Amino acid sequence: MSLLEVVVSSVVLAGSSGAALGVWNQAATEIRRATQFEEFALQLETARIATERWLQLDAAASDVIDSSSPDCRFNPEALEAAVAERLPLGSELSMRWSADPQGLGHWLEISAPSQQATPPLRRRLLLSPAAYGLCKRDEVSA
Amino acid sequence: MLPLALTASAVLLLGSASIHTLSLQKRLRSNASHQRERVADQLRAAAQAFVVATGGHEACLLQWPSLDWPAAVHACDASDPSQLSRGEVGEMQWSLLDWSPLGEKGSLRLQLADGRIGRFWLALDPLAPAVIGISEVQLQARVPQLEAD
Repeated sequence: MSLLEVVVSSVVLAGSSGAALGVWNQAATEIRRATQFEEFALQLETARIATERWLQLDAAASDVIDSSSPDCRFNPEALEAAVAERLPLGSELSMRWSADPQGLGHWLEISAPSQQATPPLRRRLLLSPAAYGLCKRDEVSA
Repeated sequence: MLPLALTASAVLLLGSASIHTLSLQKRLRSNASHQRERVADQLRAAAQAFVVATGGHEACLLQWPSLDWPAAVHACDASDPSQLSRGEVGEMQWSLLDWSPLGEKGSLRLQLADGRIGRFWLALDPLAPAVIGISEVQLQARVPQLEAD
């Protein structure tokens, strides 16, 4: 074993070790981001299911339906307060409400903080009282 | 010694490349899963728009399969099947592919403008033609474009 062989072997091993370490670090970052993305996605899905389950309860109707309106509509303030109170949202998630321009109901947009190199994590749910059986037959608006 | 160093380097590089590939696959799976959930949200919104549209005179049409609506309008005064055939919700157009009532429930298939198709089971009020609930969406195979009526 000559000195030259030892030097060349050391250089090759050091170079490949450095390159491998860089790739491992990149992979670890990627996995950490993907895991966090999945956690946020699970929280959003849990929030969606919880909202829908609650709206399917008969008791929900009296809490959030606007009884003063001739049409069957949500009371926006009551709906927002009720959902905010009951939703198992993590502190990182944010909620935004908006009325549907066609009067179909209210949109609930739940979003997670955006991460580098990942698409925005956002769910947009339409909540319409008729779809949950919360409208008496003669109150349903087209 | 050199062959040993080369072998060790190759193992290190191939191992790190494999781990990196796995991490990218995990990210792609996560993104695809989230995309499916967003499509499901759009289809759920379309199903809710359909249910809202059944709130007027068109509720009567729920008693018949959508294929029979042209004939059923005679039995449903002032009903307009086109109100239930297409619409727009959240800047996405939807169209009805099929409605089939089966007792106290009905099968609803909707298609979005981008070709995505979803199927729902709607719970029907046993006392009157009205929808009282919507099942989870079943995503179906995508077709390239919106089908003509």
